[in-house]
Amino acid sequence: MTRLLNNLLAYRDRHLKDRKVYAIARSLGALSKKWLRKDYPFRKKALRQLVQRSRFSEEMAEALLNALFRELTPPKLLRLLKSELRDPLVLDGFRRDPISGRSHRAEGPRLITHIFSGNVPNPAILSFILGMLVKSANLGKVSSKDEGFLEIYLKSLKAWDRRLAGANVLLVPKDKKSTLRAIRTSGLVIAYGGDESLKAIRSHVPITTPFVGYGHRISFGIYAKEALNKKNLERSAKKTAQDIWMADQRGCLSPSEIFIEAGGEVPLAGFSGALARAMERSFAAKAWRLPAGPGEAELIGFGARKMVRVRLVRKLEVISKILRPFQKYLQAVSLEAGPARRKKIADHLSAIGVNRICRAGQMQRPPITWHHDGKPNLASWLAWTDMET
Amino acid sequence: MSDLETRNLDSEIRAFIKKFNAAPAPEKLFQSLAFKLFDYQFTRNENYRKFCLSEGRRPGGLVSWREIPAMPTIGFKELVLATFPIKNAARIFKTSGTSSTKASADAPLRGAHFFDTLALYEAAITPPFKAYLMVDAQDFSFFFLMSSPQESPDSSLSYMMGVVNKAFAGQKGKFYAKKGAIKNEALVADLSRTRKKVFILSTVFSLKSFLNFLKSKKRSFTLPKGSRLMETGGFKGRVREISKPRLYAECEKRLGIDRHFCVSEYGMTELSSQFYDTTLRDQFLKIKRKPFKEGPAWIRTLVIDPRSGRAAKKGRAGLLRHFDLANRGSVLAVQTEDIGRAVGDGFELLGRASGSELRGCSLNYEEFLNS
Repeated sequence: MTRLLNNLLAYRDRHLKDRKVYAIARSLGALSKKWLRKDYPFRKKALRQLVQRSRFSEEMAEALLNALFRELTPPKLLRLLKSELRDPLVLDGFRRDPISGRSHRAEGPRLITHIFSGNVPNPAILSFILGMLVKSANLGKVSSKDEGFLEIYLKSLKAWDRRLAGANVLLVPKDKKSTLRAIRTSGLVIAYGGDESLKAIRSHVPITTPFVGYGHRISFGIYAKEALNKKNLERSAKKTAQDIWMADQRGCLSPSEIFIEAGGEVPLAGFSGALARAMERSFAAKAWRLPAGPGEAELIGFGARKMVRVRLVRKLEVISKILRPFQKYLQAVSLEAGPARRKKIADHLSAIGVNRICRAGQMQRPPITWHHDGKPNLASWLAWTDMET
Repeated sequence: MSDLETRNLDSEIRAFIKKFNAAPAPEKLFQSLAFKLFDYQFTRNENYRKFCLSEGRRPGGLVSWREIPAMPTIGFKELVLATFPIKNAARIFKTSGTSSTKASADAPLRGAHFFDTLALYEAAITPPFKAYLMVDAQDFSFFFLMSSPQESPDSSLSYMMGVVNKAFAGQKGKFYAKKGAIKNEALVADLSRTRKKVFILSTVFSLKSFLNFLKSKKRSFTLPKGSRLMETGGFKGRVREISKPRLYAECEKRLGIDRHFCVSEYGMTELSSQFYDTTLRDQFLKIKRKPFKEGPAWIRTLVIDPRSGRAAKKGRAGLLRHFDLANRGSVLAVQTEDIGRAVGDGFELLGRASGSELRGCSLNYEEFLNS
């Protein structure tokens, strides 16, 4: 293991450290474009994995892959770098910052250990790509229930850009000892998982090593009364069904509950009925509806599995109160409301910690520039050097 | 005190149980009683009625018992499902909760099954237990590897075992679980003292831990011939997907119980009746076939194709939907997450629907609701 780590660090210094950030972005972006081609062999292989091991339907797997790689094309990666760093060339050398007037540059850690304990595959790939963009070597530990998607991606990278691929290594899932060694050698540890897993991992990270934890999260959907009418009912239901369907309701961006404001043209049962029908079409399964609490609400599910709760609220202001217990875990809200109110409600949501507000139907397609978990992505992984004249 | 209609219905169900305690019931009789029960539950169980109406079904409009709307098991967690005011409940059985370590006693995680009387529940237990587990012999020493009904008053399994202890063991059986752990030493001591045939009744989890204990102590028994095992559970909660053949092989090695004397029980808190492997019964009736799960005449099972919500093609796997006439006080039709395939008059149990167990990066909402 020591040799592996030393080799990896040396490799990174030799092949990655002095490569231009735009060159890396161009190469990774071009690979993403390959992944978007239906006949790309690695894509086909990944699809098979997602269907067989992760139990996504074929359509879900296609949609997940597209949503991921459409955000990783060359212009999108460039946009990400600019939005996070303003001047991405700080990764290549000292640059003058027009605001402070001094020069500065940013260095990614020499080695990042990424630990994934969940089983939604997209964040793993993204995590490695961001690591490469900041010129780090990447060590990954996937959960023992690994789907192998990341492995397939790295193989595709090896076939496309051998140099870049060489800086990425996957650890054997159950090899705890090596993982601990990796953690101690890393300049940054990034972990994905529930509170318990994050806590356990963090306890192994030296105090001088930065740790970034992406925890389990919870998302919701909201329809204000003015946003739902008989005319757009079917269309809206279809969009929300898409949000529920795409990650099979397992992701942190999957809406656990849809809130409908009372007093609109469409009653609760009207929306819940339309949503159930739309979900039947997208999931190709017979849905049931179960009138349940709290207050006035309906559950929609398949078989014995509950998929989503649709709840009527008197006033949207109530929602802040309902969501308050989840404050630390809030992620995205799809918010449909008239323009003036949408902004006002967004202010409330922001105040209680929602970090992404989007349109219905877009929940599973976060832009690459989104502040994942409400924090900068790349920017928080870097160490800066400021030089005064 | 129950009303006249309830009393009449109960005695009709009890008569059915008595009449068909060892023989299959004609379709017509099952159906007419199922319809009567559906009518009763539709009228008295408000949440079930709402569900039926959202499914567009009501009494009088059905052609077959197969069309009676089946309540998803999640309904027992989310709703009160009772045909009587729950303040009159004589007993509440609760489901074991989720596999989450954080699962506590609070309501949102655990389903509740309310009973105004346990008379039907008890009546439904003994006949199939005898038919599938004691068809050949009567005289056993009973060892229950689970907590007693006194220690776990909300466990339907413990209650059921209490009934078995009373009916077949003259209350002499012993319960070996205390606060969730098996008293291994006491069990070993008692097992080595017994001269009679042994009947071990256990959850898969407890059995596994006892067998591990024996292994660590390098102990094994050769229990008297005809000794047997009833195990239950195994893919709910703490232990997942334990291989049955391996478990039975270990039983044979450590306890000397022949694998043909190992019978798996399948029951659930949401039901009043149980299913058993036909292993032991087939052997003594000299029926040669691959064993499967079978229940008594008052419970029937459909295998549902999740795509259509209707019965799956014969022999195809699907979700199990049970219709239990002994479930008078709640709902007779229950939709489970268990996957099975129709075989003979019963089914083969294949596992549990995976969707609900696969969790990605979403927070377990249920743990926080109502908190």
